[in-house]
Amino acid sequence: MTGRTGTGRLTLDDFRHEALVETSSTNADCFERARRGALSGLWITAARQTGGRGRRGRPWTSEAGNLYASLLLIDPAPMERLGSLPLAVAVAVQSAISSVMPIDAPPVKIKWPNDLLIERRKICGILIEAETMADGRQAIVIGCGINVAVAPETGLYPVARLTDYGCTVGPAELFAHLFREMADILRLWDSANGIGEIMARWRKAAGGIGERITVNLPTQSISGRFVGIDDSGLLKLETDDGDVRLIAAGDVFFE
Amino acid sequence: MADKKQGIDQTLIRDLANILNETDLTEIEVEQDDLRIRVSRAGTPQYVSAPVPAPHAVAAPVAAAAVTAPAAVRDNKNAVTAPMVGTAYLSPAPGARPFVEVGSTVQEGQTLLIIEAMKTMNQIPAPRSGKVTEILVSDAAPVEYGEPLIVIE
Repeated sequence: MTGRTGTGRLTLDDFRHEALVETSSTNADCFERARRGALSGLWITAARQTGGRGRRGRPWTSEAGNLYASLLLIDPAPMERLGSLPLAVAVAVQSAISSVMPIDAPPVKIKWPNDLLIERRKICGILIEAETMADGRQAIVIGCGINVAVAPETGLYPVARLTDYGCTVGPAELFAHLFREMADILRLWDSANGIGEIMARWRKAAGGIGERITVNLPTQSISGRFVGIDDSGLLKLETDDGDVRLIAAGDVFFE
Repeated sequence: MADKKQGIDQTLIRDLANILNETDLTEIEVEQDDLRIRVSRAGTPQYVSAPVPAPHAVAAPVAAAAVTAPAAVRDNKNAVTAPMVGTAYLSPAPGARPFVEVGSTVQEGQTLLIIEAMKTMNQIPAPRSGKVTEILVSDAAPVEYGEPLIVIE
């Protein structure tokens, strides 16, 4: 079965991988391939990116030594179910990274919705983009940039790289784990009670639950206690007057 | 803009309503010339001309060129609506040129704006070709499911 069916259900055989030495952006490449008819399950990796991007068009410095990987999905789920996809992806990437870290390394934690941190330093960014194509199919591209050997300063958050914590594997080996973990999580995400299990795994790996955080929204900044996520993955923030606000998008800062 | 002299300044009220939505305030009161306007979330907007104590003085500049159409836009069949709850972005990056502007001619499938939800950037395509006659959301504003965003005639 392939992504062509519209149910989006993927088997391990549907996943393919193309490894590039250099490209502008692996996310852009996936969209380009989707417009030319590529099916769900295509991974594109690059040793270097010359035009890597993060949230809101921020550049993502992409020197050699790190992993830059994007996965194309076609019509993976109805729109209302897609809200949980970023959390599922975070769980898969968290597992992949954890499996290449030494046993005594500090834990890899998820920062809502899907950044990955070790000791509060950002080690991975995930950018998910969606586009409806001319033929009506919806292309979703999941881009992961993982700081394996290089930690470019962003100025926004403290950063680190996996080698700072004793990781000895390279981007190619890390990708093999990511490939398997992502296939596993997408199968779970597609299954009847999968989302509940994914949310439970997400909460277990999340950092900062119960702590005071500040969320920068586009037009304001609000502080409060991070009480958790609801079942659709929205961040629940308890403000000082006791209200609980649900937040769909914003930058989270720990205090 | 054309209706500015016909009694109440609708543009000002619309701008205030937009600020109210953007900032999550429950009430805004401003004084301009001899007119005092209060826009409140609790029910319908009230227009008050008698002097009352002003609880919030809003000094923020009024957002430029929000909604200027004189006609009713709420039930416009030609409006593209938000397919999800999230944050609307009218340009690919802060400070970049917007995807479309009022008067732009768009092709079916062309990106009109981005709605971010759960850090997923959803490109919202034009459902048909035509001309953009109105942009009903401001950049970086929160949008609700089904909210009209852009009118294409």
